[in-house]
Amino acid sequence: MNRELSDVERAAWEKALALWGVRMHDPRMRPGEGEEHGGAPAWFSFPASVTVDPAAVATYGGTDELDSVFAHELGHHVLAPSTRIDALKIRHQLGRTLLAAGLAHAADEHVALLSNLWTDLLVNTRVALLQRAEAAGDAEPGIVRMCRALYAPSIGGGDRLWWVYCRTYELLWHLVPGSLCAPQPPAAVVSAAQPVEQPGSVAQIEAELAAAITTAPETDAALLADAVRAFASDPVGGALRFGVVAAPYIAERGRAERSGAKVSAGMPGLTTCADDDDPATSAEIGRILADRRMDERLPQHPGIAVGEADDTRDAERRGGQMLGVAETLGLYSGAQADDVLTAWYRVQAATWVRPVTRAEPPQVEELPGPLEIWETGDDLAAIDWAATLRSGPVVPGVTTKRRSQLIDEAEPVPRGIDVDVYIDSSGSMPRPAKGSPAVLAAVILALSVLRGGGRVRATSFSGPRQVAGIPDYSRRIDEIIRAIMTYYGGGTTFPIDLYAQRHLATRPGGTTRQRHVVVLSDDGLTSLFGAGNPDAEGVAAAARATMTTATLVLMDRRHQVDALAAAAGYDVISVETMDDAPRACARLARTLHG
Amino acid sequence: MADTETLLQAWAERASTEDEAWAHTVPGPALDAATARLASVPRDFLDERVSLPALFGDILPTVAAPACLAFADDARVRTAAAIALWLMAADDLVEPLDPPLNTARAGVAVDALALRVASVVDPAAWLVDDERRVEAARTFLLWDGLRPTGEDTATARALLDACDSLARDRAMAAA
Repeated sequence: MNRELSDVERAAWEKALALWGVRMHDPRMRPGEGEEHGGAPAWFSFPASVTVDPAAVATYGGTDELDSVFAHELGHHVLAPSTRIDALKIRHQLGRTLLAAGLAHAADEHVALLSNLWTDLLVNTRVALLQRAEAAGDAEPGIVRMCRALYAPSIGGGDRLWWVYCRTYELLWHLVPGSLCAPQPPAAVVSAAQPVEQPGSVAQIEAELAAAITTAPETDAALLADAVRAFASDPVGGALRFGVVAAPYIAERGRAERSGAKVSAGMPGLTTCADDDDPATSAEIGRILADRRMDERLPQHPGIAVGEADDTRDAERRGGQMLGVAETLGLYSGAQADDVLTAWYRVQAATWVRPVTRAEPPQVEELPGPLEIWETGDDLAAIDWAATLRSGPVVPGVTTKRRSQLIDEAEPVPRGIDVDVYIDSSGSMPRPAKGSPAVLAAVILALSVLRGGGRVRATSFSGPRQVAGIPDYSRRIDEIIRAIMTYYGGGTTFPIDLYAQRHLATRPGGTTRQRHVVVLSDDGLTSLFGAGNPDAEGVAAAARATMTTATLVLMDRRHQVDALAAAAGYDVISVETMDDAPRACARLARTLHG
Repeated sequence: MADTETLLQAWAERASTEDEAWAHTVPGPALDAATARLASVPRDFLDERVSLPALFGDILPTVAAPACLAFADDARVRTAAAIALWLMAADDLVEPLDPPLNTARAGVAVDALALRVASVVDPAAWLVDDERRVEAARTFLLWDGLRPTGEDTATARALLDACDSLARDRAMAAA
């Protein structure tokens, strides 16, 4: 139940607003609601709003520092994360660091925890600076007093990440060790002894990671303090630096728990002051993945010596590659899988995309030229009466004028094209959710065509009656990509009936638009040319006559359809592996451009 | 330019242990006053054309030459020593800190900045980076036999340890 601000609370709220120099609608005062938010006394949510549980604030001893409680939550609005998209970007970066630390997947609770710790560090540090600047004398900033009160019960706890977090504040605020956490960090939990595992097993890889990534709480706190100072106004930019230091503690704890070792209770209930459980939308995921910072190289954890942790997976990540599609799906497990996949393939394709258009013969136009005499016998409508009357009395054939016309050599007009894409989704093709080069190739082609003003029809096929797609040419990229991503995993039978229906019903020259067909497959495309179906023989060749070009992008090492394709007038682009398909389609797009 | 190990070796030969240094500290000026003075070093002190031995002789004529003069050609050492000398000179040129700095121990304090701190932190950072400025000021006060106003020995030591770049570099190397 929401209640009005008391006079004291309003004064504290106004003081917090003045500290940040912003205006915002009143906070929601919800006594008792903190329990539903992990015991948090206050939290910030999108659209920007602050909610406070005054009872929880009192429980943690923060009643006397209510203005600092408000200032902290306002800091999430003003500084970090500030916007929902930045909050999602921070989460994305921290998810990457969790994977780099050796976790199998970036669990939502871990990402949320790191996100809260990082943004809280930035906000509290800034609030302390502002309060120090505002206060007279050497008075301790209210946010520091608040943290002393809030963190006092946790002093002596066994969570090493919490210790690093509190120690970071001590360093940032020049507090004596022991002010917010014990002077010495909790000892690392030693994983219970495990039997010797087979080389390459999960446990063996975990053991190697554990040996490669070490945690050094005192040093790590100093590194985090440096990160807070360096990225004081750039929460997204600094998230990676924070994550590579903090994530190993979560991995360390996870390994200890899995080994059956005794681990301490987790973090105190003060780490959940962000309340935003809504999954990312397709548009948001697209914006996140399109941000080049999401692809930047992970800073190396200082606990990893050069030359260690060289396994390919880790090296690829540290090499600055974007998260794989499966990892991205895991990170956005709350969102619609189709939305995530669509955004991922679009961003992957973006660097390959060039607009595909065809230069069509221009409409010959005429430009007005100089005046000339209108002769009797000329078309009466051609008289330029304004010019004629300016010449004095109208004498036909003498003073009558007409405007001559000049031929204008217009530039060729680029026009979009129609491309009909068929993609093989048989069992031999990689699943889109695992990262499919063929899907990526088709998306590159589709985006290139759409960028040039053209239209695309996409069809996914596998065995008999396993066909899906959009029935007509479209410019809606999301539905096109969804059609491309449809996966059956069955046999390979080209939908020749559908193909005939679509293309043999169109008479050559029935449209002025250029139309092209592209088929992506790895093998078994003989069905396109009637293999096993005598009724379909000749369909491909007949359909070809209705189209401007027809191209097969094939991974067919035996080249068993080359002759059939050539006979029917189809071009064949052979790729050694499907990994070459995106490059081949990018080249094909340029070819179609002419 | 002298390498870091050479400078640290010279410092190790010059200085007593930190335990001894802390044991002999007495209450000194406020940390803020020391850092503010450090941040206001005049451009002339930073001019590389100014001879470091001559500067030292002008400001501390009665003090034995510090070890850092042997490395006066090293830009880091020269700048750090000049900044340290400014801290001493300002007591006369501006006004004494309260309580004033300890001239008798000034030589080792100058060496502390020029050999120990400057070997791991560019002295230019002391002028622009709050954290590094605090480190330089605390280090200088310690080796000058002082600790910041209001801090007991344990507190002052803990706070210097928290920002000690050399200790951190060693911890990082050991991690």
